[in-house]
Amino acid sequence: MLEARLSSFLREGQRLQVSAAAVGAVALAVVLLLLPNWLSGYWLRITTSVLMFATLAQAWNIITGFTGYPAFGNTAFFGVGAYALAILVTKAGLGIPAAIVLAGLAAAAFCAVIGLPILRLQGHYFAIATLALSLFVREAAANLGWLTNGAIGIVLPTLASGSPEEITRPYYYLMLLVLVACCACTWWVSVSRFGYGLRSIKADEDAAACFGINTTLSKLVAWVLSAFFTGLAGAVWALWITFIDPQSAFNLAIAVKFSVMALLGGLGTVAGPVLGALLVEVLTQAIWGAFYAVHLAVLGLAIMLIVLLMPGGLMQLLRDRLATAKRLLATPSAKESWR
Amino acid sequence: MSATVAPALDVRGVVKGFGAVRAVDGVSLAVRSGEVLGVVGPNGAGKSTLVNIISGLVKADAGEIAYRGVPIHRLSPDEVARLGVARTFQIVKPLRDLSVIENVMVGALFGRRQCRSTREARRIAEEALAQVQLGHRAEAECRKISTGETKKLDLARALAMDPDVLLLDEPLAGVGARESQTLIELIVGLAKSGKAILLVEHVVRVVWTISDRVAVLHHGAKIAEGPPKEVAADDQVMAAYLGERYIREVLQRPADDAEPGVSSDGDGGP
Amino acid sequence: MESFQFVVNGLMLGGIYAIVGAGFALVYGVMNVLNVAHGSFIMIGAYLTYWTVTLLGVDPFVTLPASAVALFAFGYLVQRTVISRVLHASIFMTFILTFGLDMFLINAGLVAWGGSYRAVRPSYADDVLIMGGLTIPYVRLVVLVAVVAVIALLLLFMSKTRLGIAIKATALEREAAQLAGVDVKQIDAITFGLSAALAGVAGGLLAVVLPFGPFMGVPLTGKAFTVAVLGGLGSMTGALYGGFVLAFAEIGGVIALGGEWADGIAFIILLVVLVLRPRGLLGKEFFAEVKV
Repeated sequence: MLEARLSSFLREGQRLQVSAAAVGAVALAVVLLLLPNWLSGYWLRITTSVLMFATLAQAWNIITGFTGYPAFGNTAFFGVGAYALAILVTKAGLGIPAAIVLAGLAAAAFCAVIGLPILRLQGHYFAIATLALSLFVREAAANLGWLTNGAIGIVLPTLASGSPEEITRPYYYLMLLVLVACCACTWWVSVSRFGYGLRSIKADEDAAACFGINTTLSKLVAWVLSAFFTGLAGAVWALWITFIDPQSAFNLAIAVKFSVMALLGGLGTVAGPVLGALLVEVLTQAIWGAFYAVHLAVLGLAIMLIVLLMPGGLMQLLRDRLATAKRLLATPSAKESWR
Repeated sequence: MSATVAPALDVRGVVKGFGAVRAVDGVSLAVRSGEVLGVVGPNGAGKSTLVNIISGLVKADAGEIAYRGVPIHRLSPDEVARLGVARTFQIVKPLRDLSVIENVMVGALFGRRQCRSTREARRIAEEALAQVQLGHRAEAECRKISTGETKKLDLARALAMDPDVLLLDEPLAGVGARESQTLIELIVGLAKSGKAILLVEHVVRVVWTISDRVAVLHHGAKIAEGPPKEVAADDQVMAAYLGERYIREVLQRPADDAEPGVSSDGDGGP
Repeated sequence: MESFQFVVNGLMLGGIYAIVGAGFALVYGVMNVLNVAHGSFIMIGAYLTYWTVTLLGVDPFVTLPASAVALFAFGYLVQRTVISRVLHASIFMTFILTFGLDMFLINAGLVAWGGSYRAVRPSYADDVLIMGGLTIPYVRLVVLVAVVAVIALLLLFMSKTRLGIAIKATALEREAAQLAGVDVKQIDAITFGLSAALAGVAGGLLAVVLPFGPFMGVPLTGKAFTVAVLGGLGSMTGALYGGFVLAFAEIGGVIALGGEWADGIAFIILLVVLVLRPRGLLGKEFFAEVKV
């Protein structure tokens, strides 16, 4: 029995790949846990920022990469998470851990409410609606002064004091925790029954319904998950920068950045968005260092180049390379096995 | 239509208009378990619209549809599918980015079977692919397979859903002759095993060969229904609505087709 | 009196929105691209007018044809070199590509001209027309006339010239237009150029009535989205109506809710229309099929 299981396990190369990926992920996790001991305050901040954007890109990946709904306005949930945390901490006096979780849930709940009507739209219409949502929420945050302090913004208490490393460290770990949870969720989506449903919706929503998939519920759950992690990231971000206002919390440039990252890395894959976040952030830093005064203009150009040169993303590039290599290696023996 | 047991699929007086056009005009059909009902008619006769209505993709303006006596015409497509009514598509919709077997797994995971484990779904999908003789292409990317293979994939996915009623929308279009024979045998076998099959097909000869009964649609209305031989013998129906070519095709069949008497089942039309 | 002011302002703003939205809608109708950088074209138009007036001392309205030509050339080139490469790509590609372009243009503007607000003030900036009990600034009247002229020219161009008809045909049925001998790639580039030219003119007009800076285009892109959706995505004439609807809704909203909500109103209108009538508020669509 055990033997049969084992052999069937070994026969499936894909499973092996998955377990290799799992081992890699654990090794990576260990490195990430130890990383703050080796980095300067400056690089620790950059790394924390990579973790945050990786979370945002990954969360976006769930609704956009797997489900095919271009939710460019996910910044709405980032901002809602940030504001929920700020309000819960400063006005309700809640503890930090509870406030973070509740902030994520607030973003998820907000998504659940607005999701049903907006998810009836598809393609460009959906994209526009999510953008409008994000911009509207920003206006609302600016104008509902009794709750949000309006354009003045909210100041938050700091978590730690001391050297730059010590100040950043707690946010690094919090962000890491959120990212790991988000990646775990995305991995589950990539292998689960639920994920098959999402990928079917991405390919053809009408057909998916005919195969028995409750498309309305599936895509809503996908977006709510996406909003939850985006909200968590927003909450930790608010704690980290200790001051939020509508302009910074609902900044569409954040959406541009995380979507470029996910796209560059590869939508619909688990590793892609994280890889993309790392690359784009490194690129941003390099551009910032080299073209200080004009770095945003150069970054804009870089984004255009990325889209033009790598439309399929890094993961696609890697997969193609791998496939070519396999084919080259397999050519001599392949003919025989075809017989 | 007064069977003691409710038919597996009972369509009554279904009407659907698009603008000024009545795509389906008061069609009534019943399919019993173990039976193949062929639906024929020229292009634009409303065959595909009918399948879309039964599967819940398109809402009818009027009429009722029941699955084993349970009304389903107000249900969404996924609810209909989960009850056990599976369909294939005239223009197949393979799920891009998924391999062939993963496409079929979707049927096992979400159809009537509601399979909770992907491993179990994979096993079911392998069986279904073997049934349509597509097992050797299981791991292929579905964008790289031929038209005929996508048709088989579509059928395998429907089978993986463990359907009780199968709506087949031109399952043989674009399939080669030898593969067609395989699929025809499969469809006959499925009916023998107790499934109710509604077969929409352009290849009239196939419909005549494997259908227990045939319904003819024209301009959205049913103009004849009955055993293939009887419908074929109705020269008027055939000439007026299916054209000369179909008659020749049907008459080429060996012997026994010159029986008079039409059975348009009495209730033809709205 | 107030209501007259309301109408003049509504017409002027509506006309500018209409021009902005029509260009945006044209590009979507022909190429299925939502141009996020549309607002930056407006910004460039505003600066072109500003610098021409400042350096040459000419009347701002005289600069409009020149900046239209300049932006047409710019838009044409951008389409040929960049946009044309992603026409068959997914929505993500076109969106992010034009986001990148927007980012580049805004920051290039910031580097070139600084972040401070500027205004174009012709010599008659403070003159007003007194008619009965009403006082209307001359500048606003001229803007209104210019807006009407631009819209009339655009409509004439689209319905009477071979080129305009070819653009319409390409938007309606690309393959058919191609079969009929239309060089659709050329039409794509011309449409993008036309859209940029309209944006440039709108920018010049805005520069005369409002102070502006490198970021002026960002909210205007949002307005362009709203106007285009109001009119039914891809419909140019729909967008023309949509511009006026949005302008009056905004001005009315500001009167009712206060100035802070001006932008919020546009977005809530956009959301509500999308959810309730995703194919546009204004009935029949000019470019029948909405491509997603």
